[in-house]
Amino acid sequence: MSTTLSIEEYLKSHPNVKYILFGGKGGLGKTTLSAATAFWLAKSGKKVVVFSTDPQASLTDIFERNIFGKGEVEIAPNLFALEIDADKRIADYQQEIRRKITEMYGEVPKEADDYIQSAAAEPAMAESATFDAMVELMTGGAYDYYIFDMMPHGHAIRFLGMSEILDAWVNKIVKLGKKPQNMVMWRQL
Amino acid sequence: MLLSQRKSHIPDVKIMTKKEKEGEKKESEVKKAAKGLVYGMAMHGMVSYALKTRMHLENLFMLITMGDMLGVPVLPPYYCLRLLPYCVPHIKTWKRTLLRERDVTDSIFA
Repeated sequence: MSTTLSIEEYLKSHPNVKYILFGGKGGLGKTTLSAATAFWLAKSGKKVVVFSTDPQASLTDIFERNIFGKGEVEIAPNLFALEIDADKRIADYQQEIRRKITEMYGEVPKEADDYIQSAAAEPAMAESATFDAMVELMTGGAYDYYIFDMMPHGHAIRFLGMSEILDAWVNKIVKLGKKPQNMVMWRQL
Repeated sequence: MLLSQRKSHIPDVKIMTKKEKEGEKKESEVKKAAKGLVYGMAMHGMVSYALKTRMHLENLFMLITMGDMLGVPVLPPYYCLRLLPYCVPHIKTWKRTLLRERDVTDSIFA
């Protein structure tokens, strides 16, 4: 008995599937298959977006259109492709933080500005920016199918594992952040 | 409109004599003093202890979110940057508290 299923059979038997991730070692055909699947789904009338999380994205090559850092580009009817320019996203993000501080206090203090500048050089910043873009796209909910052309396997596993670490960390800081708030009642006495 | 109805609109103002006013002032001062005495005897220690604990917790919070600023590596600062605008007023004092030199007397008087 064969256990292999074609993507078509799989999607027909699992109508609730919304997110499709293509992973594996380099050169296995992740980009080719994600582009082909996206094209096939778009042709069958579904609104599809294909997102490349690979820093060496090659959707530009496969669609023969320069889409790097240009947001969601419509390649064909119902077919959108997205290649993120992580460096640009980080720069925009830094600018946004600076703007917010200026709005709140009138100027950006030197120590805060130094930190914002040095933050861009920290490890895993590009991955975090890509991850953030991925989450933003998924929570937007504008598409029927989200296809992710992942980076090579080892990198992809760590990339996706990052959510678990961030989750644990955020829970911890939220818990710790709430503790001093309870002390406010003492002050009011 | 009846006179009795009209009267009800006039607020009931208590006109106090000078003596009464002084008496009330004295009473409030006594109350204040008693409150201060009770606070000083029973509460002050607890309140300052609570505030000190709060300061330590806030410093710890800053350390685990903005530790990179002092060279302590925490997670990628992508999401920490989002908190930065709210921490800006505390950065200077936080750095001073964490980086100042400490000696034996600190543990006695702090």
